[in-house]
This record gives sequence, structure tokens and C-alpha cells, in this order.
Amino acid sequence: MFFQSIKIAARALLLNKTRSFLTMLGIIIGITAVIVLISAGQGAQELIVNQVKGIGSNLLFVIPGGSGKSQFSAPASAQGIIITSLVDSDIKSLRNKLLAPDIEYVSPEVRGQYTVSYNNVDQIAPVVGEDENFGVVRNINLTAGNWFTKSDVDGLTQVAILGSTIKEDLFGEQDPIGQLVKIKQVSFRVVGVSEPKGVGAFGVDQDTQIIVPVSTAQKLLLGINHYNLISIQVKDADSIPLAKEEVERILRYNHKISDPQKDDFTVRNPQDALSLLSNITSVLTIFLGAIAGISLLVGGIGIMNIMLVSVTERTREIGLRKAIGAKRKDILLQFLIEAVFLTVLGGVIGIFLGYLGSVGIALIGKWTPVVSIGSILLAFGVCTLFGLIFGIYPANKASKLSPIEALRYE
Amino acid sequence: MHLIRMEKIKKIYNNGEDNQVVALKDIDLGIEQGDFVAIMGPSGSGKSTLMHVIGFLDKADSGNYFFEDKNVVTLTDDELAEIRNKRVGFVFQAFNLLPRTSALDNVALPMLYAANSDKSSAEQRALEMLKQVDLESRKDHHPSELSGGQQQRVAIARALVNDPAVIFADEPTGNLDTKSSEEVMRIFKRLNDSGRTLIFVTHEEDVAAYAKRIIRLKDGVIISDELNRNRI
Repeated sequence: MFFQSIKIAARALLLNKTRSFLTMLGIIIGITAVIVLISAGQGAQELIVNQVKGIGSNLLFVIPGGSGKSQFSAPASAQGIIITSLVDSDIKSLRNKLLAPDIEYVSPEVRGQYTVSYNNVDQIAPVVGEDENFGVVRNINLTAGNWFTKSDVDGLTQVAILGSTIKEDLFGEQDPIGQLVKIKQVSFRVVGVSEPKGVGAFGVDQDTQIIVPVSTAQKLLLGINHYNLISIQVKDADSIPLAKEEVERILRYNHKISDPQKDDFTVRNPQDALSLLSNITSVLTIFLGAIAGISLLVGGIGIMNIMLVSVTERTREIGLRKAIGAKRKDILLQFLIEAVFLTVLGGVIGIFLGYLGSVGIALIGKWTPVVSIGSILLAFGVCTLFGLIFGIYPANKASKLSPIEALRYE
Repeated sequence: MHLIRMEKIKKIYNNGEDNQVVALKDIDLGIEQGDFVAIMGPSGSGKSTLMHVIGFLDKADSGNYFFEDKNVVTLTDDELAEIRNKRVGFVFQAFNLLPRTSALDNVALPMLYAANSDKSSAEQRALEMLKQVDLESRKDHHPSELSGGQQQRVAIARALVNDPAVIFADEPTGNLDTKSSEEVMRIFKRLNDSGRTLIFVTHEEDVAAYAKRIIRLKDGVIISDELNRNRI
């Protein structure tokens, strides 16, 4: 009986192909939207999480300028104000194992933007001054050459490591190692090329930047004594809170600050940013999913509407079926299966299109498509449920018709 | 023993307050196995209501109705559906075939609601029924491709398919021309000759002339019930 009901339902739907398809379209669009949007949300989340993780999970950043009470408000330096509070003595103290036992590496940084030229090619590029530990701390490997050494940093050597994009721009296929490039009219010898990293967290394209020893950048390019950033690698991720306290204690002591509210530096942990970002993206995912869910709901109501029309239209057929012996449950089942058939078929098509859409959006957004089995099963379940919910009312209405009244219906 | 026995069957339609229509007033009726009965009467006489009550499509408000010696007034809707499926067949004035469905599938439809039927034997059986009404050559035609008379013959084949004890026909020739009417009535007569009980409603004297017995109703009361002496 059940299989026959499926056959009857399939046939009734085939008799009204256009209508069945248009009815299904609501569900198809709804399910596609749910899957694509949830996948986009999850993909974006994963992308952001991976980028933050790419910085390193056991890092602390010290940024010049205080940021007041709020954990996430911008420090003064990020607002364009030049703060010169982080200086060489701070680096020395932080590197002292007795003062800061949980800190592995301390890596100061300065930043600038200069015209870089080789032969007749000019290019404006970000130039960062780093120390010899930077490659280790930030996980940057070289495709050619070697990192500059501690003696390079101490001796203000004019050497540079090129990002992969700027290397292409200046040298093309040519081997840059040993060549001289001019940065702000100062000659630097290229000693290495870093591997492509893409756009990192905070929108910095690491492939276009040039890395030079931090002291060289301070004295020969920028003419300053302070640092723009100190990256600190902590022993392990668990020691981050301890290390943060050590950093704060050392810097407050060096800067003679007694009130933490008046800090002239800010210590940031990428993990904090990570949890904030994943919070934002998961709220965003739920929000997008909810919007798509509404379109699915509208699709479901469309199904109910069409089923009601179908019941009215086929009143005589229902009467005839009852007159020749169909019981209430037979009619109920027939119309219920029709509704579920519409939603499930629509759902399957929607899942397929949603998958394609997710892959497409992932290509545009440059993240890996995430279509979880969970969201497919959820979509499938919701479709079946919608078929039952929105089918039960019309089906029940049909099954309750009295045979003679139904047969008399014009 | 009566196939059908009715005692004081009453049917009242309530069309709102103070507007009761008594469609059947204490009908007493017995119909034998093998009978061929025409129910006649002017419109509003209650003949269709009587037909619906005898045919289990409608329930009486009071009285007793014994079908094959079993009182059916207490049966549930599903039990009545079971009887409609197994023990009786219906032929309607408007044919009521499923549109865009082949003649064969239309005939096989009642077997869909019978518990014990497999597909191949159902088709076999449906084809036999179409043979009985001389329409086996049209088995794959849809109702829209058949004439009125042919459609009604498909409907008769459908009524026969579960081998019912009795066939009910409500104005079976009402939508047909004279020639098709005669064809349909001759099939009914042949079925009755082979022992099938037939009860039909008509308002045409020349159609009623095929019956063995004519019951006339007026205002919900049987005014005459006699054998047909001028039988065709």
C-alpha cells in the first residue's frame, strides 16, 4: 500500500509538472540558500581562524600606547599617533631569562613604506625592520638564501629579504641573491626570498614586504630609536597568561608606571582576537542561516498552499476514491506523501545546488568549501518535516471529505 | 433470505435552524439476491438519498439496515469503506473516471484499496473486466479519448472488478445519448442475467423498463413497489 501511495503521489505530481516544479522551487531556493550561507559562514570562520593561527598560537604582541580599560579598543599607536615608548632597554629586559622565564624569543619591529628600486624598476613597498629571530617566531621560511644573523642586526648591515611578490616585480625570473636593491636611495644586498604567504591576518600582504635588520631600518631608513611592535614568542600556549604578566611587570617597571590604567603599551594575544572573531563569525553564520531559514519557511507555506489548491481541485477524485473503498488513512497518506515527495525532492535538488553554490562562493572567497554532512542531514530532515507539517493540514482536509459531498462537488 | 433489508430508515437533512428536510421517512425495503431494481421518482423525492444510504455512501439517522444479514448502521466509516470496496460496485452519472489515467488503470483502481492484491494479477483481472464490456482494445486510452458510452462501460468494468454482491448505478444513462444508453442497459441486463444484483436510480421510463422491479418514491416515501410487467 505504501509503495502504491508513492506511485500515486508521483503520478499526480507528474500530471502537473510545471506546478510541481514551481512549488518545489520555493524549497529548492530555501535549501540552497541555507546550505550556501551556512557554508560561507563556516568557510569564512575557518579562514579567519586559520589566519590567526598562522601567526602562531603562543605569541604576544606589545604595541606602543595604552588602550585604556577595554580589551579590544584600539591602542593610541593604531590611531596614527606616534608613541615612542618601546625602546631598546625594554627589549633587553624582556630578553632577560631571570626577569621573564616564560619568554622564548623577543623580536622588535619597525615599519615604513619606501620606494624600492632595482635597475630601472621602481616600486613602493612596505619595509619592515626585524631581528634575526623573526623567521622562527613568525614561521617564515625562505625559498632562497638565508636569514640575516645577530651580527647583521648588531652591525647595521644593509641586507634585505624580499617577499615573493616584490621579488617577482623587481627581478622576474632572475636570481636576486647577492644583487643590490635601493631602498630610499640606500643600497641593500638581497640575502633571501621568503615563501609566498598570501594576505595574512590584519590585511597585511606579507609577500609584498621587504625585511631588513631592525637596527638598520631604525638608523638608516627611519631615523628613530623606538619600535613599532614587539613580537614575543612564549614557551608554550599554556604559559601565555604568565608571560603576559611578566611583560607587563617589566615594561611598567622600565617605564615607571604604577597605575595599570596609565600603561603606555598594550599587550595583545592573538588567541583573544581569535575567540572574538570566531564569536562574530558564528553569530554571522546563525544570522545568515536564519534569513535563509525564512525563505525555506516561505517555500513550505507555498507547498501547503498548492496542496490545498490540489485538494480542492481533486475533490471529485477524492470522493470517487472514497466511494470505491479508500479509507481515511489512504487519502491522508496519498496527499501527505505528495507533499513530502515535493519537499524531499526539492530538498535533494537544493542540497545539490547548495553544494555547487558553496564551492563557487568558496572559490570567490578563497577559502575551502565546508559543506558538512550535518548541514546536509539537517536540510534533509527539515525538508521531510516541512512536508509533513505543511502537508498534514491539506491531507487531513482531504481525508475528512464525505464521499457524496465530494462527488457532488463541481 | 434478503440481500438487503431496511427497517424504518429515516434520513433528515439539517439546513440550519428551523429548516429540516426529511429526505427519507421510515423506509421499509427488502431486496433479494439476483434482483434488478429501478428506483424512480421526481427530483427531491429522496431517490438519490435512498441510493446513497443503501450503497453505504451515507448513513441513516435512524432505523435498521441489514446487509447480508449483518446490521450495518453501527459500522464505522472505515468499515463502511471496506464494504464499499469488497461487496458493492458503483456506477455514476458523470462516470467519475480518473483523468489522464488509462482505462485499464481506472478499472484496476478499486483493487488498490483491497488489502490482498498484487500488481500483475490486478492487471489481469482488470483486463478481464474490460473484456466483459467489450473495451479490451481501448485499455490504454485515457477517458478524454473515449466516448461517453465507452467511459460509462469502463466505469461498469471498474464496479465489477472486486466481484461485488451488488452494483449501484445513480442515473447511469443521464449523460448518454439513446444509443449509448441502450448499450449500457444491455450490459446491465446481461450482468443481471448471470446472477448479479443491480439497483439503479433513473427518471427515464424507457431505462427503468429494463428492470425486473420498479420502486417509486415521492417526498421520502415509497408510493409503489411492483414487478415490471413490460420488461424489455
